[in-house]
Amino acid sequence: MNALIIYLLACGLVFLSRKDLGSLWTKLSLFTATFLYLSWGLNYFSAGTMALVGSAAAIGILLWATGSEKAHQAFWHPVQRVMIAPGWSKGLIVGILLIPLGVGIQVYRSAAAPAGPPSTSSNANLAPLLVAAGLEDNALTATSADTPFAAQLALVEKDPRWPLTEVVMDHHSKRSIADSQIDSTLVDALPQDGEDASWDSIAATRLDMIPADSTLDQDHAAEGEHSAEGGHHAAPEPEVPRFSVKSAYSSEGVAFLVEWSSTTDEPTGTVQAAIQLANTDENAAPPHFLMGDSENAVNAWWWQSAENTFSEFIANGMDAKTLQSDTDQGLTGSVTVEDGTYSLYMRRALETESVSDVQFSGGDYRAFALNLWTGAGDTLSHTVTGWYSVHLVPEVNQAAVVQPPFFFLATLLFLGLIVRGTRQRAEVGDLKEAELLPASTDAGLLTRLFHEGEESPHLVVDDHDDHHHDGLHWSQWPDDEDMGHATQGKIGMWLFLLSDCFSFSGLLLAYGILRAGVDVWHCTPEVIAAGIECGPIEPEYGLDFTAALTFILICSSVSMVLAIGACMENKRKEMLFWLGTTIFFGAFFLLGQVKEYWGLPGLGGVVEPIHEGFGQWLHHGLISEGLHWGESHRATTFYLITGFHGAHVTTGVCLLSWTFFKAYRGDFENADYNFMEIIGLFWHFVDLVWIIVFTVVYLIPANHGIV
Amino acid sequence: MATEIHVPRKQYWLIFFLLFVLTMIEVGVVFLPMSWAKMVTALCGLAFVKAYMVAIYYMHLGHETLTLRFTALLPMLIPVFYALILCTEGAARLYW
Repeated sequence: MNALIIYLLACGLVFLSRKDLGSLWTKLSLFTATFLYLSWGLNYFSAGTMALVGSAAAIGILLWATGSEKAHQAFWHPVQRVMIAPGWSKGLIVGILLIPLGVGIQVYRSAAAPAGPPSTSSNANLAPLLVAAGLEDNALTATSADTPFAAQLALVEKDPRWPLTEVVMDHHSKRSIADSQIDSTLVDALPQDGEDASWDSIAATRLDMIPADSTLDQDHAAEGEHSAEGGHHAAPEPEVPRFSVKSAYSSEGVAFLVEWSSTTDEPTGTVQAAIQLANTDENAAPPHFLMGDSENAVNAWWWQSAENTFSEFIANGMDAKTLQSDTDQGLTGSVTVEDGTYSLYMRRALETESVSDVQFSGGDYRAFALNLWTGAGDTLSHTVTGWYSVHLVPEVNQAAVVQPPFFFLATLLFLGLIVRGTRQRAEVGDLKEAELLPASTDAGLLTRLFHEGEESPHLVVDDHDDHHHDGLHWSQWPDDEDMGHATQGKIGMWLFLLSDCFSFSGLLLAYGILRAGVDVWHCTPEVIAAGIECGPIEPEYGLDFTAALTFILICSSVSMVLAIGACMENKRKEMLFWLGTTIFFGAFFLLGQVKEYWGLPGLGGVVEPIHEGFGQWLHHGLISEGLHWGESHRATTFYLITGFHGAHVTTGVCLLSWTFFKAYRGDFENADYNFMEIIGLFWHFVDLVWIIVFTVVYLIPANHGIV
Repeated sequence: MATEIHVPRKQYWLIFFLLFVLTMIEVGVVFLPMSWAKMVTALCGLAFVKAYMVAIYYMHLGHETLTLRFTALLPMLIPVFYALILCTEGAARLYW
């Protein structure tokens, strides 16, 4: 709604300030307003592509649809004016154009920030409680996130619940955000009980336990930070040191698997456990107290061993628990005990009809805590966790997969329209405005370099075609003193390849620096067995397989050069054959790379790496085997470098396909091999770079003894 | 004086064969019992020879003028130079 208001305001301003709808300024304002309106709430990537497509569309329409002369007046003329304006006024014009853009982006950035996890501080909910207790001054301090304890410390003696709160807060403040989150994985079918094999692939989060009757002083005394002079008892060792929690959800519901081991050999008496889920709005801070307070209810899923029942209750405080009616309870579960290890499985539908229940949907963050009671009566021991948050990790948005390529193609289309528009204009021949520009900018740098001392060439294409000289093969250029027969396109490609070479050099040098800088480059079971600490165990690369891919690329290089040769000799069939072969090998290489990353389709899942014999040809992909982007220098640089090269191969295959189309259409008749040679240069370069990448990334072995 | 177009197909296939053989040797070198430093030197040498063959014969750099050859290749000395400096630095860290 905000976006719509801004959009309408912008449109209104445009109409009020300038009635001339044909002016560039009007179009620009309308375009900006439309962009803001449409991009509101999108992520950066989508908004960026939209801006690109939108700009291209606007310019394309200007140049193409409004006719050449109008387009010229509306676009090129102002641009040229800006270009030739003195420095200060150019700055002014650019500033005027950029300020609204910058403001727009700022507004957009603040609006499109993705929803993060909820604040881990529950102090916001503390304030009303303090006010209710007649302690407004403390309430003011308590609302500040910087002083979480000031108000509480003053109240420790006032309420039996404060000590616990204090300890929980203290533990809370020591946790990192990553430690505080339990990811609930989206699965096709919900695990049916605690022993379901599908739990194996879900990562567990460990939750710190706190004895419910401990205080901060006791806690510190136990850690030896305080002397025992205060007369407190040393905190009893909690019977259960840690919980391990796994979670999964599907359209059927959400399931939790909580595991803990009893430290006593024979668990005695009854055992009860409860999952607390704060019934606050999504992403809101949880209630200050575990088990909630009068304003903030908590929905708890409760299991007790005596009758092995699962039930839900609503809590408005430790002593204000209300069991929900039978009809409200959709909770099911099971418990297994093995060698003193409890596995508590609970599940419920994502949404229920009861307003008291916590409702789940994909992407939600929900405050989560655990309680455990063992024994009964005098021997009752109660342990709790602080608030954690459960994140129902949403499915990858399909739009994020589909949109970028679509926008990319659309952008290409519009850029094509622009080119077509300018070409049409050039054909009209009305380039009088070019005289606005200083003569020195008429020609490109290369042209000026090659024609030093000659009369400055003009943009206007006249009848004189200076590369058709008698005596030369028609596709050849006249000899240049420095560059020989090389066409400008070819020189341009060489310069591009040089720059690309620097890109790869940068990546490979960074790779070398990272590799030399770590003690253990490749963490294997052997390294760990040798007593060296290292990160996650990673698979070997399939050397034989990659060597075969290298051979494929070499094959594609020779077929490329043969295609160019056939083109030179004007042998159409042979040219098409070798060109097709090159495309085939290129695509084959890409498929090989996909298989290397993700494995063959149908072989998914986590498996033991296979390295022996032909087994590795069927391996399950490096990702399944544990080579994960971001988990080690080795993995990240591997995907970065081979992925960057893969992007080059993809580009090459696209260019070659285009070349094949042109060849088939007959563009290269009369042995005009210039275009194909330029594309060929790119393709050979891709091969050349792979030779280096293959050597550096795959072949040079790990050397833990030296680097 | 129309330039005679000659496509050296035999040469292309020879280079292809050499590239194939050198790749096989590269993969074989990894399994040879030699010191790490020697192995890296051998692998880099082989890679350089292969890259050189592709550039000179397949990319026709051998047929271009000296200026174009220098334009394309000379700046590549900069990353090589930088890599050498890094190697020196690495060696210094190891032995001094």
